[in-house]
Amino acid sequence: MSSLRFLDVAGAVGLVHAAEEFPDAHRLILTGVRPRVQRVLDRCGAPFATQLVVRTRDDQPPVEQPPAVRPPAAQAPAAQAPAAQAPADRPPVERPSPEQAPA
Amino acid sequence: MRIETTRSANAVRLEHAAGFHDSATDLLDQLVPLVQQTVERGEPLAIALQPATEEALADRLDGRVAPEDRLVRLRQPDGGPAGLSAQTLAARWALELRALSVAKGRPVTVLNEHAAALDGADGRFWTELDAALNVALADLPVRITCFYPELPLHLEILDGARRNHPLLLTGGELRHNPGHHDPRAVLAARPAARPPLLGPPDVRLSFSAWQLHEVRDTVEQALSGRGYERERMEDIVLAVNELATNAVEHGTPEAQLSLWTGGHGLLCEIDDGGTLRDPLPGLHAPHPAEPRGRGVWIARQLCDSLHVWADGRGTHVRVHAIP
Repeated sequence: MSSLRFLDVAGAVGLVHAAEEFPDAHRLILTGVRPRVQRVLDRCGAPFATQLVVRTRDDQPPVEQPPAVRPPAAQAPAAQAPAAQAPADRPPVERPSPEQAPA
Repeated sequence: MRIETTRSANAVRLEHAAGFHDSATDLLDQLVPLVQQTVERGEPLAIALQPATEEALADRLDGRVAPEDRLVRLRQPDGGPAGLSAQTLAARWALELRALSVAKGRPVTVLNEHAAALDGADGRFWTELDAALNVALADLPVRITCFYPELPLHLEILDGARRNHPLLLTGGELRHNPGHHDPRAVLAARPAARPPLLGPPDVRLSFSAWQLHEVRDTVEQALSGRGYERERMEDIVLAVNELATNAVEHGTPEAQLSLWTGGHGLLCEIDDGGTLRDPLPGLHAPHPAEPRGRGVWIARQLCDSLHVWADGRGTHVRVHAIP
């Protein structure tokens, strides 16, 4: 969600209601939410929707740096290395792209 | 900026009564027992009385109207640059009374008195206020009694009071009012007044549903460098965006945005050519399961004043927002 700069009330209500439709054990997780968007979600009932998890940009887990080992050039391109090396049970870490970074 | 929660379940609902008096003494004779009963029940008391009435009431009650920790003076309307808005006043009182009833955990008794200074040209302010209170306080544990003179300057004040109040205070007892009407029916017959004209706007923009981002950008530019904090600016942009969305979604495909900037804060009007179906939009928190109807309600709480009215040219909303 980090590239979303504005969310109107209908959009926020839609997300809250969508999460509430989920089974109890399921979660709709919004990550990288900007404070402006989070305030709209809060005003539209997000804190009361247990199936909705809102993670702000500050709540992001620390970005795990890939090991400083250069893979053999012939085996894998550098861009694919982090995803390929992440364990299967660990959630992928979102990295803001340069154009999404705060000014 | 505080936002009301939409989730509440109160056993006591609004009791809205009108009382009529022929003199200041008669008014006090009716007020004193209401105050005494409230104090005996240990409930909070909120008042919107004239200063002279409050002073005389305190004299009758040995110096104090009620214990200070259970007495609240409701915010009085101030016209400001946007003009008087009874619906804005009702929304503010709803916010204050909700907070008071939650804080004290008890129903709140409200004593409200007519003030001739707010009559305007025809007294319509009071009709709008009572209708708006019926909507805004509908789910609150509030007992409100509004006192009017038996002979006000404008007949509209008496007519509106008789149509708006489900209960009448007569002889110290509340009785059903057979002349009571639904608030929306009352305002359909006597619509909210248009506020004073503001002159040529500093910015004017026609927009469609595809140009809402231009509306947001225009408002943000108008607020920049005028002392608004970033968060406050974003809230105002959100409020205007909701009103603009309603205009092009429920009004006409094209609507107009007008902005006035200056030392008075931001004044904004959104005009469309559509029909106003609900004369009192956004005064009541929609049920959480309701997918629509929340935008104007949130906008009302983010702005210092929000007044909706309709005329032969369409539907209009005026917003005032200070830093």
